[in-house]
Amino acid sequence: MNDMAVHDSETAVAASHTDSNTDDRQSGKRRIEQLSTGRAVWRRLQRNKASMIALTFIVLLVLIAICAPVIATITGHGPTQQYRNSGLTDNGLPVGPNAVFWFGADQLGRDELVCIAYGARVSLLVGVVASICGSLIAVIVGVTAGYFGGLIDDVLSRITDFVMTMPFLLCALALVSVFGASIQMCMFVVVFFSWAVTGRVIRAQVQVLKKKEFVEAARSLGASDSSIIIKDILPNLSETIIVYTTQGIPSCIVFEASLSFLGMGVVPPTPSWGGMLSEAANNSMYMVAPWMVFFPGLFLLMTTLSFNILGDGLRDALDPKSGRRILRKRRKKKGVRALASVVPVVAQISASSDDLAALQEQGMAVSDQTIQKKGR
Amino acid sequence: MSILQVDDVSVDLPTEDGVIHAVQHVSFSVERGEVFGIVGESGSGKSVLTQAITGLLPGAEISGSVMFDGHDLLSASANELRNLRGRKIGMIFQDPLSSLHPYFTIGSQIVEVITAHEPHTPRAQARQRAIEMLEMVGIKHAERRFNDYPHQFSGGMRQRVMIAMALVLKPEIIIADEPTTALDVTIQKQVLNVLKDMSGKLGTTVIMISHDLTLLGSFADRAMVMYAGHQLETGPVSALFSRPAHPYTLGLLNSSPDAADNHQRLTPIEGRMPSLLDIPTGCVFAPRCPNAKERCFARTPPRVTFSDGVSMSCWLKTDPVAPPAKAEVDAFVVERAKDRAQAQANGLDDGQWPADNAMPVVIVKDLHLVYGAGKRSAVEVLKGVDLTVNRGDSIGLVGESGCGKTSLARVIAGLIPATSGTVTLLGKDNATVSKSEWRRQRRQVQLVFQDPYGSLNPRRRVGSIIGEPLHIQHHWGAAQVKQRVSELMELVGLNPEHYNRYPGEFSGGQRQRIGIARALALDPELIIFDEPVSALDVSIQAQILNLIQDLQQAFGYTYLFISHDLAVVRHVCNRVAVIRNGKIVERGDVERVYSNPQAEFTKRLLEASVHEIPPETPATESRVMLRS
Amino acid sequence: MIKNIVKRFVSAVIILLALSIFVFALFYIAPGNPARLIAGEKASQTVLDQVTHNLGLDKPLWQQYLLFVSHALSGNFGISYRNQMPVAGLIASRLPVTFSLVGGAVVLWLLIGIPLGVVSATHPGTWKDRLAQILSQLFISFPSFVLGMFLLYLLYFLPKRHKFTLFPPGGYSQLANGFAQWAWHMTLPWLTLALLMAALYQRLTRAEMMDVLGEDYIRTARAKGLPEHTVIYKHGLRSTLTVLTTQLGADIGSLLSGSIIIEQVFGLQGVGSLAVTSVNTQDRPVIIGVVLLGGFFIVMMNLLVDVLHVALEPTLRK
Repeated sequence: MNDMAVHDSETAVAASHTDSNTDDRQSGKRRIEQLSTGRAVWRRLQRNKASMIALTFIVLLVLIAICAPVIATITGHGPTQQYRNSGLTDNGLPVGPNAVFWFGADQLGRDELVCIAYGARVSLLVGVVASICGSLIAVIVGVTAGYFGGLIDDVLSRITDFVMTMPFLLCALALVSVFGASIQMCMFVVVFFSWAVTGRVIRAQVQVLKKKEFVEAARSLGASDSSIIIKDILPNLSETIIVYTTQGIPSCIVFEASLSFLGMGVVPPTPSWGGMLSEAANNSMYMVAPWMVFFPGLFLLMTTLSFNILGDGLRDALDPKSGRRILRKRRKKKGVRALASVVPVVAQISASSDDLAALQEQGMAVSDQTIQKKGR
Repeated sequence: MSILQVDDVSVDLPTEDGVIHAVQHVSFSVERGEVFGIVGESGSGKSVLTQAITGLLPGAEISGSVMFDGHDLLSASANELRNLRGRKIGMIFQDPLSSLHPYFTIGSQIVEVITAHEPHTPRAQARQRAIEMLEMVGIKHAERRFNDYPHQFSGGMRQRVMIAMALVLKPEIIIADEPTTALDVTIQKQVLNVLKDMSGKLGTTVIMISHDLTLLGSFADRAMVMYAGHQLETGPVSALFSRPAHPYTLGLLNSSPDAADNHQRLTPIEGRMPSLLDIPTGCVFAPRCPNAKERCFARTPPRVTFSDGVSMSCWLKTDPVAPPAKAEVDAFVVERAKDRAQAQANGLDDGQWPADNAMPVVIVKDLHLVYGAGKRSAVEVLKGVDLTVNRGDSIGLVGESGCGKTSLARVIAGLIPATSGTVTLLGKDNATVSKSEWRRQRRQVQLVFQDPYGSLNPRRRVGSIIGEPLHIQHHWGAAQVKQRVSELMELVGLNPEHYNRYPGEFSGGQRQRIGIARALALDPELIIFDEPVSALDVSIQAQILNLIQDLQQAFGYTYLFISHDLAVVRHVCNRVAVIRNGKIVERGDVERVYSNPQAEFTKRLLEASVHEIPPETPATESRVMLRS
Repeated sequence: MIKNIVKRFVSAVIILLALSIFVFALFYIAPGNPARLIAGEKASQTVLDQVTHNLGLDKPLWQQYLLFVSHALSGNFGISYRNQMPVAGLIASRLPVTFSLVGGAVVLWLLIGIPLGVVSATHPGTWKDRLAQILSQLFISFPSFVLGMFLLYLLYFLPKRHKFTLFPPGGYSQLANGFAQWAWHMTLPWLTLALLMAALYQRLTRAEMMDVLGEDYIRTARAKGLPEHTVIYKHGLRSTLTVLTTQLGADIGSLLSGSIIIEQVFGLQGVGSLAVTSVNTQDRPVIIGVVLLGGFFIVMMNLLVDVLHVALEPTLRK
């Protein structure tokens, strides 16, 4: 029901001959908002201050992880070496943050700062790699099940359901107890249990996309299934994939940290944040040495928080209408919809979908570059 | 005695992108007991206006004055407004399925209105009143249906429930916001009759909002034409139709196939509606107005009143003149395209497809289509259809929703296999084509879809969308494809320099043009249009309809045109087939069927779509302009 | 409708069976000999053989599995390798702790999360909303053990240093011994779990409510002149129940199957800690029993939720 106006910039060539008169008179100095190319998304993301801060932290963290050996050299402490003389007090208790141990030492005299730096490697590695692998599997399963339907869908959905019903921490423990704890095992377990939710979401989206007219149009042109999947379906999934992958990173990181906390993930001597916290909890060590909990806990929190904020920001940058649209058709949602959308100023207004959505659409099509008001 | 007096009302909506000036300086009054229509296309502000003044837009900034039955609506508190709503002001909306709460029974939703405003009413009495109301609006077995849920009713029944709910407290005025747009044509008439009937019985004043001027013509007494938030013309409906004073009203009438003479060319309104974020100087319609002068762009036009009760905002001192009908397709471009096609045809091997021009393009014999065959939930959608489409024909498939016309088109196109019967497309039986033959068959039949927003992949550039068929079928090189795509874009009236843009940057009408260009890319024999203009505004509809006709004239395509809109079909097609419940109940020349329908259903359809327009009154004939 | 539920019940049983096969098979790939564990390092071969025979480990795989299933159906889940007690009884003794933990936390997080979500949805953009968003973003990012340890430090250790006990560091007091004691011991674990989950529910409720409040039927409700609180709660919140119950079912199911981390942090002897010890000691029957129980809880809760949905949504009934 809409016929919305989009205005060309002055630099663009004159519009089609049906619109040339109108556009020349109305153009003003607006620029078209490209609905989603990489640059436009980046620009929108930049406007979100929280996301920028989160991104900065993540970049810093990556730097710390990469430069962990450098930090080890600077402080003169290795990640697994125990410095009982300098690290422990006369009573055998770890020293707090001081000039030698910037973040303090743990109960075996290891340098907390260096351990954190190396632990960052583990967390980031497992988090990012597991999330990407999980998304990859989710996309393959989701697209196949959603697009082809029928028996394939039945089988894949049953498998997905099964994985989702497994009590994941328990099964993870069981798996680890059988195969032993190691970083590879940890990653396998994390991937194994995290692809299912995203897979479900993607399957649902593919089913919606498949019914859209442009897919039918492609088929009526004689396009093959693979061409349709690659050119029509996947590009329209990109937002979902990016958002879920980004949001998957913190949950993978926490999963790994939890496993390490239980002694089932990355085991000593490899430093990991979860492991550090586990040692802090042992014999309530952290009661007398709170820095053993504070620093790893803080870093873990900040990392998770940053990725969550970045994920939210990305989702809003990729689909600027998601927060502002007032009317959204009710979708039957099953499964986790854990993260809320951004505040729309107009949300409290419930108005005619035609008019107001039309007006909003118009508003959306105009960027916030300088608008030269004419007169008045 | 006017029940509603609106004076210089403006509504501003603050959003994250700026302030949307949804309604600008609108003034009108509604007399007690009359039916007042508000007409406008999408974005005209008609719904925003009524919702803002009743307090349903809490974030809006409203200026001006609104007096309703002695109450000053704009200075009333939110609580006072809430009190008025439901009790003195009833409202019904467009989509009755989404406007009723899906989880509560309709009975309880009606009773809710009563208990909210008259809390001391005993439950039994409230229930009784609700049942009486349901019976009044024509819901049979109201007592039993009281406990049913909205999804258990059909569309028309649901709208009657909405009407009952809005009128149960016998309000002074009822605001109907596009109440029939989402309904089938035959049901539309029924619902409007219910509305008219009820308002007559209860003495309720009706404000009816619609985008359909001809609908209002048969239903309303007076009407107001809105455009981009501005009020352009107001007056008795007869005057609006017989002697429109504002060029926009004239344009609306001329773009609508209903009111226009059949097969005479529609004169669309060029251009698009402006953005509402920015108030232009001068008349808001000037950029699209064929009668515009310099003055129109510089200063806002004054409001002038005529002796027959019409008022409008325009600088014109004389009756507006319709612009001459122009071709949608540039003649030069057509020639060039034809030359190119000729050169191509000489080089291409299309030997498979017979060039026998005498043979019908499509022959359908006893076609049956069953969805979910073999399962318990099987539904027979097509029950024995016979159809012949000759070369050069323009056949309309008309029917209501769910009648099977869309499925029929898809089967003819070869996209869905028939359950039984034969479909012969250009000499080849659809059921027996091999896979590669099927792929080649795609070159001969193409579809244009209904939804300008859903039929184009938002992630592909327009050039790629239009060029895709060429890539798939002909494996041409990039340069050749680009040339053809530019040519196609010019043909349909798009700027070929916009090759690299995304669909999101185009308007609805332009997107339909892209869809048409895509369908033309392979130079098909048969083009199937599936409700191509239903989702577009009236003024844009006319542009696209003209384009479709021009293309057929230039290139000799054969058309299969699906629509629920009888007027559109009458305008574009030369033959028509009326479909009901999977069967063709009547077919023949358009003129014959429309003027002398044989089948019962056809008669009903026609009767429901034809709107009685009041004739010109002497007052209008001899009116003079008064000082404003 | 009944047919639907029966179908789901059947698929639930199938999932449990599949889970049992999975876990069972898992332990056959595992290295290590349980008979050796029980008999002891120094046992002779004959003793080892005897133990192996007693445990039924000398029978073929599928026979062992069938035996296991038939035992399980009658409530017998085998004997723990470690302490020779019946697995069923062992798990049962841990259940009160787990139930207490999850039960109390559920009440808390629903009471905190949902109202805050409604407030956010009805006042979007205001300071209330922003504050709620910030807090929920923070708590949703908190790993449970980090939050637990922080809380322990703040609410147990710091007061302890000043010579008084605000909250105990964990442990469990039976309900039979007094409600106050029971609640006092559970407060910190409840708080940890509840804060984390409340954040999730606040965001979920907010998103759902905002979706719902934009629907046409809310506009109709306002147009009818209904009081605002009726519009929001009776018409609005009601529609969010489907999604909320789905989430709640999934959460309760997975928490019941082992809030392992919380139990570790607060030293609670629930099912989760049983799982950890049994993994550490390679106590296979217990591991299998715990995993099956966990799967059972999840499947049960999903089934319950499905039934609830039919009651909530008239459109699902035929």
